[in-house]
Amino acid sequence: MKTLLLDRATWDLVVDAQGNIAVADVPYATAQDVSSAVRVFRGECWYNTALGLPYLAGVLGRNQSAALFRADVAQAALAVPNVARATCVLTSLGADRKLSGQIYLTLENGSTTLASF
Amino acid sequence: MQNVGQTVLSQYACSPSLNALLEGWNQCFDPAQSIENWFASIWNIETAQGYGLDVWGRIVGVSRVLRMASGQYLGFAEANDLTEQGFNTAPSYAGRVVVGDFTNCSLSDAGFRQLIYAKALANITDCSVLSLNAILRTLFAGQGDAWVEDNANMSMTYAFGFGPTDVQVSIIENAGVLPRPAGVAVFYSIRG
Repeated sequence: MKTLLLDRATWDLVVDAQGNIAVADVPYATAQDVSSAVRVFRGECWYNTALGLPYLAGVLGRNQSAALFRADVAQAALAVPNVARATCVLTSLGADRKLSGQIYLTLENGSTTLASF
Repeated sequence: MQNVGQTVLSQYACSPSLNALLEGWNQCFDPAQSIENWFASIWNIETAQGYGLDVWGRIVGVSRVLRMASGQYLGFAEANDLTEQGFNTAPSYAGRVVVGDFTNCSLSDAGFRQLIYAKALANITDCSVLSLNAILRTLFAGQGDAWVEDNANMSMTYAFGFGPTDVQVSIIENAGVLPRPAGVAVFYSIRG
């Protein structure tokens, strides 16, 4: 399934060589969709407030177990179509208080891909 | 939409092209101007025009088109309507209404708005002299004195201190705007 390609730095639409809005194809599209899904704050989607991670309620500025966060991320990733298995690995919490990590995805056709954050 | 930014997920809040597209679309679809126009020309009776006033007329129960009696007849001051004339200026009343004596007259927006106000007042009136006078003031604002007299014998008189035009005569006598308390006879008179 295709999806609109987003610039990794600004998370914005980009244009392709012909000047059209660029689209991404599987498997990168799935990885980007997982990335998008994980970034949603719970309650933020107007038409489905059950989507997303409870950033405001349970993550940001609170004591939080890393294992719980990983499980939440994996759950959100599994909600994306075409994802069969998802594993979240936290790599570092930087000096700029920025958490980074990777989500390993297994798609339904058996191939694997990677989404970073 | 009043604030399209609120509907954008926070992960896209800093995306310039995405937000520019949404802003542009929002401006294209913005119905505020249409709602404003609709409100001004239909909903708000003070600024309504044409069709909007016709709708208001149906709501309060008054028609823009008046059936106007243009015929004037020989008569006396005691006659109880406003179509009487002195000797040598009008024919005698034939005893029936001649078809050609009636013309249909369509009120202008300004006149019709006044009529709607008056009818709306009449719809909620308690038929006291005070409120009848208020209706007369609305209907004939700036034209001269118009008032109600209680004749103390179960009759009343709408008195006018000016000569009403033909259109005003038909408003007074035909439009059903000037109310009549139950069981009371109504006369009209011009006090020059």
